[in-house]
Amino acid sequence: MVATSAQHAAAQGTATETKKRAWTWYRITEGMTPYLLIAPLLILMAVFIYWPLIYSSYLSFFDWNFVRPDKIYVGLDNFTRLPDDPRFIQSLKGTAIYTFALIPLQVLLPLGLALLLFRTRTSRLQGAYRVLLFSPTVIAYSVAAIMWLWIFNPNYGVLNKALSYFGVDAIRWLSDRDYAIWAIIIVATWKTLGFHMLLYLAAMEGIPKDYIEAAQLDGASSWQITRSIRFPLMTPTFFFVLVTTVISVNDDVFAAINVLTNGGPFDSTTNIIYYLYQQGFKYFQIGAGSAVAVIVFVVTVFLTWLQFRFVERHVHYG
Amino acid sequence: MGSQTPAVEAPRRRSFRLEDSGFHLVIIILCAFTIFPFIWMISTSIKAPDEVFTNDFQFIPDVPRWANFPDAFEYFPVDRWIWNSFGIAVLTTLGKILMSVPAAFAFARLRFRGDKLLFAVVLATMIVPGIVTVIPNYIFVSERGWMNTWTGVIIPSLPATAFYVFLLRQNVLQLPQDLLDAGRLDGATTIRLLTDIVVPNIKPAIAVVTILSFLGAWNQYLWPLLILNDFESKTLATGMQFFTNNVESAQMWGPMMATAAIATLPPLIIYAMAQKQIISTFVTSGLKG
Amino acid sequence: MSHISRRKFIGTAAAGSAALALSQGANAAPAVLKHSRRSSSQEKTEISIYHIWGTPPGGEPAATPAPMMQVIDAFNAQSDTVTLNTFTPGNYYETLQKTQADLAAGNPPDLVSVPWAFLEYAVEGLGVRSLADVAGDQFEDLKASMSEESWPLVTKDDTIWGFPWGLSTPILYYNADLFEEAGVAPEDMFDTWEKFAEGARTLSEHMGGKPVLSLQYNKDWPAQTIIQSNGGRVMNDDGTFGFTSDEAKEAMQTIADLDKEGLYDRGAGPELRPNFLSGNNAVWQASVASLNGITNEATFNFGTSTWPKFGDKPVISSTGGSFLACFTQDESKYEAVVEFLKFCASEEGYGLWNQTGYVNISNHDFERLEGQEPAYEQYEAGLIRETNWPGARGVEAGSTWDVYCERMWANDISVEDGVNQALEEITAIVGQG
Repeated sequence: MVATSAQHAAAQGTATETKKRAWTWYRITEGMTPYLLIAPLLILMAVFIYWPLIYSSYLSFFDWNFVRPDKIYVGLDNFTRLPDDPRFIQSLKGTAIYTFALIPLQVLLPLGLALLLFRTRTSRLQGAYRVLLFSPTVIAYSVAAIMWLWIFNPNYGVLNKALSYFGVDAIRWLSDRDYAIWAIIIVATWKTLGFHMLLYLAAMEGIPKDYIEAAQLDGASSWQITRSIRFPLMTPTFFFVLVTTVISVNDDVFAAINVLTNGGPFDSTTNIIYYLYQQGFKYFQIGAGSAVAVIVFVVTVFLTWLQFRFVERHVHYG
Repeated sequence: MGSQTPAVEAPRRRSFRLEDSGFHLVIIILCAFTIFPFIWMISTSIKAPDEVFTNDFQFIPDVPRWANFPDAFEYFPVDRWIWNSFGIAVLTTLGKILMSVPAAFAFARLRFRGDKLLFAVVLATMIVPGIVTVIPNYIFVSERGWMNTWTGVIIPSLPATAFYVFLLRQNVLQLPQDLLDAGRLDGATTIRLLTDIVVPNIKPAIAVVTILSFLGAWNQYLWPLLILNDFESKTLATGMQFFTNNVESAQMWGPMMATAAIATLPPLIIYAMAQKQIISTFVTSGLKG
Repeated sequence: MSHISRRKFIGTAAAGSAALALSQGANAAPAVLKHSRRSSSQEKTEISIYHIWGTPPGGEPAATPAPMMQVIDAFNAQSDTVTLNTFTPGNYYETLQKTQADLAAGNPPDLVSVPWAFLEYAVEGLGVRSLADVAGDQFEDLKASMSEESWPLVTKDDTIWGFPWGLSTPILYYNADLFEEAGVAPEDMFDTWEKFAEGARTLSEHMGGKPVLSLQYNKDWPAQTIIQSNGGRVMNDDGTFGFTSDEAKEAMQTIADLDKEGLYDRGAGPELRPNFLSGNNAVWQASVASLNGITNEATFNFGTSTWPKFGDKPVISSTGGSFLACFTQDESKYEAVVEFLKFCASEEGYGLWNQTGYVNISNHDFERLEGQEPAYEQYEAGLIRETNWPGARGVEAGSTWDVYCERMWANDISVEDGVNQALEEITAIVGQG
């Protein structure tokens, strides 16, 4: 049957309606899509990273042991009592030692190592070197600590055995207040050496060859090339390693401390992170723990800002 | 992958060998430092107590005690620990990939309101040290009855993904815009663009993120330590700590080292296989900007 | 087409893994709260116990399960109405942590082994149920089943809060072979502290200058015994702190002096036991509860002894170990809990438990294990309860004192400064609790 023009117009109209609706629907879903793609990530971040910051700040004003339903408001007490707590002061000392020792060891030492590896990258051993040097990074920190626990054993550990060949008396690596923190620093250095070295190596390898060739054509020596081309172009990586190390250095050694010394001897290996753990989970002082968490966060943000303000200007972006 | 690689310089042949040997020596010494604990661990893991507690120094025991390995499983529920480690690592990795790949795409190539701000919000999470969120997350997990469960370990660890989002985004940025435009012209929805064009082209980067994420989850310590508070439910990384804290078990260095050896195998094997891939991904995506 | 299957794959994988995770989650959770009445259902009531005595400690792997596990297994085998699920979170601190976590999550454990020292904390901070509430009309029976001396240890404010279970005291283990080789007679050396120092010098010389005495665990435990044996107290009965008294200082100084001569082992906890067992150490203080383990593992002749005396003053030791406490508020579980406690007090149950070396506090007669004598000597002379650091921050206070003991003995701080600073800090901590 031949459609009348009215019907035809009506059918046409409906078709346009459908098309319009389809188009609108398409635009809505398309418009929503980016948000859908990032929603799970952002929601989880909000719940497990951002909300805790707010909640920790809230909890820091209370005295609560996690089990009793009532929280007692104590104002700033959790903060003011910290300077009077000798363990807190001790943990600050520990934090300082870890930070100042490990920043050069975890930021500069791997750089030197990466340079060495880069110089020898034509050698057939390069692949073997990389696997060997990176291997401490891939294993668990606690497992690494256990390996070293045995090495540090005062009576049968290999380290003291080696020292005895040089006539040095056995050192109680983990029970002597002067040495324990250095034992942990040794383990921490051993653990991260390969990872940062790899990042630097990757940066060095990623430098476009045009720059290098141009410099070579100009007759620059390889050291000059390294200095004026490679180093500057590596600064983003260096900066990244520096910033992330400052943020995470004290966090990282937690497993080592927990396995090797449990904070001892005499709290000499605790840092502020470990202090938080003890307050929050050994003594169940939720308020005090939260207060420390707030402090850690504020200091971290401040240090990061410092680095961006004063160091980042030296970074050359390729 | 070849089309995206910037032209990196080819290694030159060196003419001086003497100074090189000096470098090699230093590197070899450092390699020895790095590898020694592993070797010593393996050496101890096959020793009987009398060879462990001795003043002599031997790499290979006179009488190897292979029984240390099955013994380790008897002393501790090492098989359960392996299962827990594996399950948690796999699920965490899956979760992270499923979240970070689409997000990386969205932040790299899609325009939407607030895109810059939201990306900054994502990156900003890298400044928050893990320890700061531990107490509230612990309370959260407890209130939901997730204590001592895989869920309690996995879900709060998922958002620690900013670095991977960053890395993947760098990779997506390297895909030519034309590729995506062509897809659009064909009438693909955004999701289709993601699954049909983006994902296949950044597979190596996804692989690397998968591996790194797996390793991270396998080795995770503090969070599982807090949440998995029963013997049987621990992971390899946290179960080992039990060896050291328990006074009575501090004697069993042989089986302890055997367990440690078992714990190091999966990460090492995975790394050995994926080594080139990991490095080249870092090279191409770089850490610029 | 490949892209459809990939999406499907991801979708199914995600769904599958979510399901797996959640189901695994359910499996790993502690005992299900099942509600059952003995008369009406065949189902067994499930209750949970958290304790520290899982298998292993030490000895050949799983050849013989640890005594506590034997008790639990035997109980489960003979009970028609109750299944006891066991959890071993780790050491006392880890057990406490798990207890708190589960309490806070609204999933309280039924039974937990709580150290005597944490009684105050269990009552004030954790809301432990009193034994009378749990046992109901069975209370008197239960009370009669354990020895009278043990009940004061679980009493606070005239209420009994738990079931006495593991009672230990610190004793000295010594390597009899080494003593013989060095020509030192144990009975002489362990007589007084003066003679101890003399004997230790001889031993040390014989062993090439190694330290002779090592003190295991938290140092505050042996410290309490040593101080009390000199007539001092760590905490007086009225709750004030006594460790700054002259007697206490003298006692602490005794060990510090040994350290000055290199006779005291400053090693970290986990190193000391293997050290003793491998023949590197002559005298090791530990709990009598370690007797089982040492008997199994020592490759030399060892002996046990009580502490040296200060002149004529009697040795007054302290308690160690734990009691069983009930935390659940679900009254339908109480019967099951009581059934288990009764089994513990029975001859069969306690007989299994007695293998550990803990002092027999039941009303049954069991043969004493070889080596337990010193513990019984101290027990019969009268034990003082482990210091119950008061208040909500009691655990931290105890920890603080422990670190000071360690420091004073390692001469990291003088005894005078040590006790005074400890007093200051602990008062501050406890005052706020």
